[in-house]
Amino acid sequence: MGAMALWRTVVVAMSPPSVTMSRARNGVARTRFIPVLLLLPIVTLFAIGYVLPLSQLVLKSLQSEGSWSLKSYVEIAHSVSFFWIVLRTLTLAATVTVICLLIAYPLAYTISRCSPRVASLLLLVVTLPYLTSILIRTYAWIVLLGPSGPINKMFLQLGLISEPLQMVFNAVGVYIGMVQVQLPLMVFPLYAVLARLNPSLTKAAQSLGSPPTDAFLRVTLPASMPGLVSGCTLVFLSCLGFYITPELLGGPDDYLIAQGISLRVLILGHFNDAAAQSSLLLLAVVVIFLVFRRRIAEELDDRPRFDAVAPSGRNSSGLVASRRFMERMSLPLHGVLLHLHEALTPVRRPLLHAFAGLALLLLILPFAAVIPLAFSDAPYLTFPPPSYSLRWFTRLFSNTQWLDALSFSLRWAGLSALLSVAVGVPAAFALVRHRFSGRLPVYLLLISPMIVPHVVMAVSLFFAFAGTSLIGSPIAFALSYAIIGAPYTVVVMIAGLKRFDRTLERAASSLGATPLTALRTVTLPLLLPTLASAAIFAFIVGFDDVVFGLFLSGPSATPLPMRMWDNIRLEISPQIAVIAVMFLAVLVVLGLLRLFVGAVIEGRRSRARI
Amino acid sequence: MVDIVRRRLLQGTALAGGFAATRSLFPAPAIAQIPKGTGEVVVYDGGGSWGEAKRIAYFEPFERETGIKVIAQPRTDTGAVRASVLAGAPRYDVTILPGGKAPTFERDNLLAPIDYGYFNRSDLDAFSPIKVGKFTVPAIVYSLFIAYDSSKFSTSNAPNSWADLWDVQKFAGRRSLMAGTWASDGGTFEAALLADGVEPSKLYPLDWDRAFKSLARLKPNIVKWWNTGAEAPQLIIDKLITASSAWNGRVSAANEQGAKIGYTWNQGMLQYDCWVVLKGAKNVDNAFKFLAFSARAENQAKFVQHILYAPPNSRAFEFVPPERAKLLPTSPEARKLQFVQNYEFWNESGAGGRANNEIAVAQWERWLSGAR
Repeated sequence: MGAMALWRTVVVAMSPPSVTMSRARNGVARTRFIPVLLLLPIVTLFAIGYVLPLSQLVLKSLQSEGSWSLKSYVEIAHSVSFFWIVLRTLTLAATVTVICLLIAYPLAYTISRCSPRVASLLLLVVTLPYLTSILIRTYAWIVLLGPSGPINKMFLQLGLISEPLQMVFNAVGVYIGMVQVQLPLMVFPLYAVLARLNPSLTKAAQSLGSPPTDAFLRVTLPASMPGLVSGCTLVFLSCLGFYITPELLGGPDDYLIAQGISLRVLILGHFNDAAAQSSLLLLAVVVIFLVFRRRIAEELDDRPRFDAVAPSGRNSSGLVASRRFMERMSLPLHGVLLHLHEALTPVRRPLLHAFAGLALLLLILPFAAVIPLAFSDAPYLTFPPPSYSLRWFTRLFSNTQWLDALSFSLRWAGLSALLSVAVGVPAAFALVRHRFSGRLPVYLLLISPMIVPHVVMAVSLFFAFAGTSLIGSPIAFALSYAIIGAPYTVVVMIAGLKRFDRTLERAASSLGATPLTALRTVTLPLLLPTLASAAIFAFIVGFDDVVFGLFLSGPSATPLPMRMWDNIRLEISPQIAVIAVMFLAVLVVLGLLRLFVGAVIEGRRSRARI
Repeated sequence: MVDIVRRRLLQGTALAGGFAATRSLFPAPAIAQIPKGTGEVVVYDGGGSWGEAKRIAYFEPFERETGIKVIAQPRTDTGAVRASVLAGAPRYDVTILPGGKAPTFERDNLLAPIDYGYFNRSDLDAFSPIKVGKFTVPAIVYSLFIAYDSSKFSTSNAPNSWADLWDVQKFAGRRSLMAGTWASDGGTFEAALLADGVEPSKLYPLDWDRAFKSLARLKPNIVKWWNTGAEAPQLIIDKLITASSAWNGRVSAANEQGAKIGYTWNQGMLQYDCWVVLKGAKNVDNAFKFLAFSARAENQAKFVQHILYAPPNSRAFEFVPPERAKLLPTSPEARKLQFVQNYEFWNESGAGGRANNEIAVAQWERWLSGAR
């Protein structure tokens, strides 16, 4: 099959089902072949760089001194501490997920109700912390929340407290830090569904006598369910494997499973034990998946939503159940809600905005600490800086190690992001628009790199690459970044495709557009923002990675976070703040550029209209 | 080897610092030039002020003399190094291991035997009291001691023992110690027992139960367990704690940059690090040349000028100004207040055939998770 033919098949696969259906009549076998073809690139990538190395690692957990043995598992079975650590990890992940949801929902809702330009600006603010290193954000919290930090100083001056509050190096610190790190993961999917939600539906509900609170429960909330599930899944899963934030912000008791595994790999070198613990963690995650399989299935369901015109009979998914649940729940509450609504009407909007404002503040607060730190004149990190200078900027630009690391990270995380999108987008199309057996297992496989602690994947890759020239080469980074980035592109694209109004595609094809034209002129342009956020997520995941660097870096391949990690671990200085500030500057420039381009296009459009 | 070293250190054999006085007796001997070479050698750099000291004293002069390029690699963890050797692709040619961890690497057959052919006889003989081993060349001697916020406590009324560090009534404020996951590296278990009144001479074998009971008393006042050398001074600078265990080089480096951290040598714990060549290293010959170069007394003396870690080559003191030597953990005044960590104990096999280094970590995990 030639390249062109292949491309045509891909186009058919991605195009509206009506078209696919007509082709399908010609050959059922071909339609069955399509999801396989769409999934082939990502599955190949995962097989080589992920499944194979991890299987080797699992096999390793079943060995001891060269022969088959369950020694590692027997040891775990006898270890009470392991189960306590697992329990602690699960509790933390669940709590962080709930807090994130409570904070992110009003924020996403508020943003979705803003004008597109304001919304894109606010989304940029949400993205902002996500685009800077997790290391500096985490360290900034230490500075901000510390006993002599600005927050405690302010409270002391206001007379609210007489003793500094302990807000860092305990559970509070971990929660604040984790929520700040994970919040964007919750906001984006929620915003994605809420922005697509047709406001006229709520208005219709209200005009029919439903109080806004009720309309929210009956229309907005159910319709935002895919985003909500998507966000919760992302946050919960990535919390399970979290290492850096609890490590840096936690107190003497905060010891989680990822730390236990990292300890075994990085310090002790007990690889069999680490492999056994990771295998068990994986098993636990699979069990959680099975418990929530209806929700996961719903996540994959692309049947028409409330804002699409569809006979209710087609809504055979879990969504109907949830709607009935909502109805059941809201009916007896109707009167109460009406009163509550009346009481809340004057404060509802300001309250919502205040809440959203606080959430945004939480996201950008660390920058308040980071910016002045970058201009510090002090030779070590101290807040507030005693005096200001550009010495840390000068030092950065005169240090080729930092510059090399920066260009390495930009280059290879960028390339990997493109690769992630290239394999992730067809996979999302296959998962959303096609029904085939093994859909759920494939989906679980594709998002699993978000759960498996990176330290495990990294060490498995290390063994897989051992003895080849791939160790310490950029290729190793490109591969691992693509694998950890791809799940994000898949999840983001699925959310985007599900909220995609396919009547537009049908309209295009009914007007005679070929599948290729429909894809080029309708589907892709409409999905462009989703594609962009998919690429951004994939880029960040790679760019921010520390753990793969620990195992895969070599003389000609040292990514930026490795330099930063070393800097934090060996000589804490304001150097990292400088990098954060430079990022901030780049982002502001990009943001302004985007606004400018948007304005130009808008201007052109309005002129065209005249 | 470890055993001999310990005994000698414990007996207080003429220690390195004492050699400073004999400087004039030894005219600098002619140094055999290390033959020119080609290619590169990948060396662990240690980062920060320590890496900087290595660059100035060892890396750059070595490149000039031999034409071999030194590729300094950032720090990584011992487990990652171990993995790289097991996988047959060592991440360094030459790296540094803490004295408490090197024997496990030796035991597990992860190191290459060192070819001493390029070394000067005079340098080799001068390694004292820690001798060179089949697989190890001593790199630095340092101290894990008590550091405190000198703006909180005046020198006359500052914590002067581990018991003082444990006493949060007398010396108010919160504390830090190195995480027990680092086992021998951090000296946390020794500190706990000393704080509980155990004599330094009766420390080993460590009484785990007593150590954890002692740690449990301090834990409510622990802000966090530190994991890297830079962290302990940083916690003091940030006013998050008033006292902590810390490594002497990091503290003096912070002080030389303007921090105000007090310290005491009393009940300090002497430790050392070794250079090793990893098994399967690509540039073994260059690695041996580099080690021979870094073993030279003059070069070690130069290193001391940049960081206060003591040179294992005792002849280096001939080239170190006395006022600098006085600040080293091996100076006679500092030496007599400290004790030497027993690496032998830490590498002995205890229950279940695991070394005490590993047992300590398992116990620590149990304790933290509340299962102990």
